[in-house]
Amino acid sequence: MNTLARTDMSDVQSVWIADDHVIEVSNLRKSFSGRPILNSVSFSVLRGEFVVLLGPSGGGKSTLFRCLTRLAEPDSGQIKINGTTVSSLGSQALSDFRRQVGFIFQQFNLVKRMTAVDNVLAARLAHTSLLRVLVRRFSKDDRQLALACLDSVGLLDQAYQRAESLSGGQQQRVAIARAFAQGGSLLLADEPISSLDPEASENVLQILQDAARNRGMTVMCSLHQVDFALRYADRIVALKDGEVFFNGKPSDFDPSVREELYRGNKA
Amino acid sequence: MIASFDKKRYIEPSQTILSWQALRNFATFLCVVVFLATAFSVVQFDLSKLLNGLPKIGSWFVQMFPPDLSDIDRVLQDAFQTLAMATVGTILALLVCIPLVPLAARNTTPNMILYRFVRGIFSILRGTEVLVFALIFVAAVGFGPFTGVLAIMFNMVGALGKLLTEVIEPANPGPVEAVQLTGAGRVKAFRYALLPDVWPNIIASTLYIWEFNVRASTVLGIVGAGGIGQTLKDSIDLLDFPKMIVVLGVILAMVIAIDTISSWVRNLILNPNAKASKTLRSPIRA
Repeated sequence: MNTLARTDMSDVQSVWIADDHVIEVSNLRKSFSGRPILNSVSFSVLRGEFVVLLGPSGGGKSTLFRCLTRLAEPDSGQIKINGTTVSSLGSQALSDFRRQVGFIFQQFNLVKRMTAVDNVLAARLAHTSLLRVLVRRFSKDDRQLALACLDSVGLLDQAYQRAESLSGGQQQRVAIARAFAQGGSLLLADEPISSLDPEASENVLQILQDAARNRGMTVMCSLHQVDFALRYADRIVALKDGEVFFNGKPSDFDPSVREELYRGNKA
Repeated sequence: MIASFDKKRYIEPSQTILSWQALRNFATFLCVVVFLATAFSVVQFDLSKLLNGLPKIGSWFVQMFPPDLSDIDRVLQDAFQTLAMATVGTILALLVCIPLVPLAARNTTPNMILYRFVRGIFSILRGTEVLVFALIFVAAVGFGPFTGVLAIMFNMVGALGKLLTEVIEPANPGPVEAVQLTGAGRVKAFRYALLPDVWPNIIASTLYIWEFNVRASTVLGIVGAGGIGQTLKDSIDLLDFPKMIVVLGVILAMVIAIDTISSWVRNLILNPNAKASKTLRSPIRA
């Protein structure tokens, strides 16, 4: 079904539109101290898609991500993830919801002095009793799951090295393994390669793409590099001045669109 | 050579000779001078007194030799008692601090009222000198080393507490946020994502406080709160100079030894692979 969605989206979309929208954002508005950051943003992401979010700095990409996980509260509009309206969740339900969403940060946000596998195990904290957390004893199932997740990002050999001793690219892969270990089906990545060199960037994007193709995950990732977006994305959504400027296949994102997107960048 | 340029283009802001800025600076300077002059007159600073006293100290110093080593085992015992008081006091202070410090650090406190309240307690305990606590506890509990332990503990909950909040507050909030986004609660997130990064600093701060306490507690015996201070006071009161120099020497040796050990361990904890990292962080990291 995933392959179908990509190759023949226009024909099939209407048939299972209801249950295969993982993210549905409609008329989202958000402003900070009177200045509009998101201005009536609407788009949706299908199951198994790898969507890349593009746009100039200050275009609202990070704010959109913060709204999706409710680190920021939208002014108006609706966000549905896996059919749940995010804004309606109470604190316990919000915590349950966040377990389902893996988040990748620009700065990796690993605990530097802990090993790679311990960092991945952080994803299992929500499923582990407080007493076990205090003495840092995870179940054997969780420990093996963490190792399997590290294996899937190619870091099994580094499992017992401290995070701070790994390269930037390796650290980001540990962060991705942590998101995998949460066991959710949605991955949000806010500029995951901004502090990586080109080779490590390719590596990270390949892993994210593979997560969408072969792990049945839905991935939404913001980038600054248009060339990477064109090569890896199933679909590109571009934000400019708080509005959806482009929403379509990479093949339709031609140089004139690109130039228009980044021209007159106010930020 | 400097190219010619249009001087009319570069008009500097006008400079008055007597600006408010200059007046304010002068007033500040005047205040400091007045304060320092008053301070010197209040302490009755008198160099001649010091010069007249010097021969007395000199003669005592001569009388110190040869040192009287007959009581050395008792002096060493008292020195060890001082060390034990400082150590137990520091550990008890740390135990009291562990549950309090998260309440008093901006990034971990559950609410700001509690934050201010615990900080206030730390300030009061820190502001009351250990000798003052010793006097209070001597009156309440009586003479002896346990009184010294109590005095150290109360004073150090304030000092160590403040120090530990300063260790926790600048910690990187990123990992905590990341772990919370996996659905883990605050307590779990702090335990898992904050503590591993700050604990070396917690240990180092505690060692620093311990080292400070060893120095501070050598005088506690003077007010009867146990340790080598009592022995020192006895020898001074009896003008038993050969014994005094032994006590002073033992104190000095102990303090220097503890300082050295403590800073060595602290360095070991804070830079665990200072040597290794030079070879490890080679160009292989590409």
